[in-house]
Amino acid sequence: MQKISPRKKRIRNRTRAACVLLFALFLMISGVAGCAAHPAKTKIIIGYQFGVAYAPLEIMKMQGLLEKRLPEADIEWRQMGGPTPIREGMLNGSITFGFMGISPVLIGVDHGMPWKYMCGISANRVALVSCREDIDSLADFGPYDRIAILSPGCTQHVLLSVLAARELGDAKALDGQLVSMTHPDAMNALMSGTEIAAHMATPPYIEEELAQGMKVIADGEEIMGRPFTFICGVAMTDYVRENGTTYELFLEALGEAVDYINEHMEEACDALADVYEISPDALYAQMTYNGTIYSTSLAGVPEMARAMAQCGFISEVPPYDEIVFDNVKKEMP
Amino acid sequence: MKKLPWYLLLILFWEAAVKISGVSPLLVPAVEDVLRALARDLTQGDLIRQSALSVGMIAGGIAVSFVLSLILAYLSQMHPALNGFIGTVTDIAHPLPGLALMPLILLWFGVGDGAVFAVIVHAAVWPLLLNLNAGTLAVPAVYTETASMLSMSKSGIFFRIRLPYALPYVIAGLKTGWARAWRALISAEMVFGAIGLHGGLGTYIMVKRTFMDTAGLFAGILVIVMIGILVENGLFRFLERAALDRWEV
Repeated sequence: MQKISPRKKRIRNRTRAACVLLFALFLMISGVAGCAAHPAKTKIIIGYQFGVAYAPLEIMKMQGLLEKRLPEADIEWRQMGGPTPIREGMLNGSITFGFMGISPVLIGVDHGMPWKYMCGISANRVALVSCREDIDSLADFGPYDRIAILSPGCTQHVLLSVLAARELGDAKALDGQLVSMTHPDAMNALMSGTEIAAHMATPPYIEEELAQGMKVIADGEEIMGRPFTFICGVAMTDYVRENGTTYELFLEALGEAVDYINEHMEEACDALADVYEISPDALYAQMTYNGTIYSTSLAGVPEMARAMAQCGFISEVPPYDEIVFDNVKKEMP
Repeated sequence: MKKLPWYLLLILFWEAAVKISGVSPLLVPAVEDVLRALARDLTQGDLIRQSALSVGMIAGGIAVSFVLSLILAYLSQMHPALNGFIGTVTDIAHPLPGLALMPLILLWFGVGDGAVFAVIVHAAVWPLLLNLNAGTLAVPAVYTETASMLSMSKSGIFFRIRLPYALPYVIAGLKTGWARAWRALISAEMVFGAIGLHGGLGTYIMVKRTFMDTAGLFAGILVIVMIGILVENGLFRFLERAALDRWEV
């Protein structure tokens, strides 16, 4: 038998050790992904975004409605800049309840994200506003005219695609001209006469843009053919199965916040004025703007799913009763 | 080729770790899912177009940076005052990450390709200039003095003696410039990708993230890695060998 030199033996041993370490590292990464940040059962982390559409959550937070029901729980509120980080947080277990537009939820469902709609929180007007006199429909946009939306795959993007399919015969006809911008940036861009020719806006920006002499080219409700929930709540299926009581109490607290806004709008605006850093009167105007509704009912998801499938955002329309929790199913006609 | 077994081992460990841990494919996809996404986006999607856009953008950016650094190196060696001024600007600009300048670049160049290009040029021009200066000034005095005695002009000495001598430094500068510019480009594309006015691999990754295509996101990262390896281990090795053969440096 050939004798191995001590040097070769050392190298071989080191190589083996390196391989074992490397494998352990891979195993650790894949094992840790998704469970490292799983909160303890008593910890509830709520992920939501900015704007008056999320007002019920601010009321819930301010009045401690969840704390009253779950005094033992450690509750944390995290405001994020878009649906993607919330979705990722829910996937890796660092967010318990997430709030976002209804379309990013469907994109997640389409890719196998194990979550479901738990409620709606608000509906508001969405409109395509243009600052240009020569633009009256999508056909009038030139190749260098840009349209500002919030982010790819957001509800505004879906609505624009539905309209493009209807008016231009191709849902993706305007995709190369879309620019992702926050609402205030888009409004400023429209007003300062940049390459941004139109903005898929929501209140209060619609009102402010119209006040500057701009015009509405298309309305979200007309595009969809019915009113629809704009912002909804989602939870992971496993979490709700294992924490049914917490889920029920969360919905109860949210319901109380929505009722408070609807029944005491002026008081709610007084309380929220500091949160939104505007006067109570201006906030009242925003929260009662034509088309703004605060409600836990979920509306328009099947229509949105069909529109998204037609425009290629999702591969198929999921069965509605498989993507909503039991409390939403009870609302079904 | 020496590293091939290690690449294969990495892939094997990745696959085994995914299978054993049972991690969600939305968090860490299996190797075959990533390869399937890569094949799909290469054949039906626009991965080739996005890669070409990134490579074209960086090639253009580095070419412009090279010309710019050459002009700056030439000017700084023509007059001591210019040398002092350019040296000070380099000291200030070289350590500044391109992304830190992003708000200013957006303000000056607007959103779009011009801004991405500015980020690349900023990332590449300073290391190129520093290496060009170091290389052209490292010429032994005997060559430049002889050329002066033979009535060669300052420009002639720069282009015909200093610059050829500095070739290894130029290649080292290009390598550093490329590494900095490639990282800056992908980061800038990710920022502008979120805006939507620019394509490229960074944008591709952002879109995959937004639409929750984790396997596609991994495929994008894989392409970035492959281009990086090809340029660093292929193109630059070739350039170095060619320079060694040609000038015997």
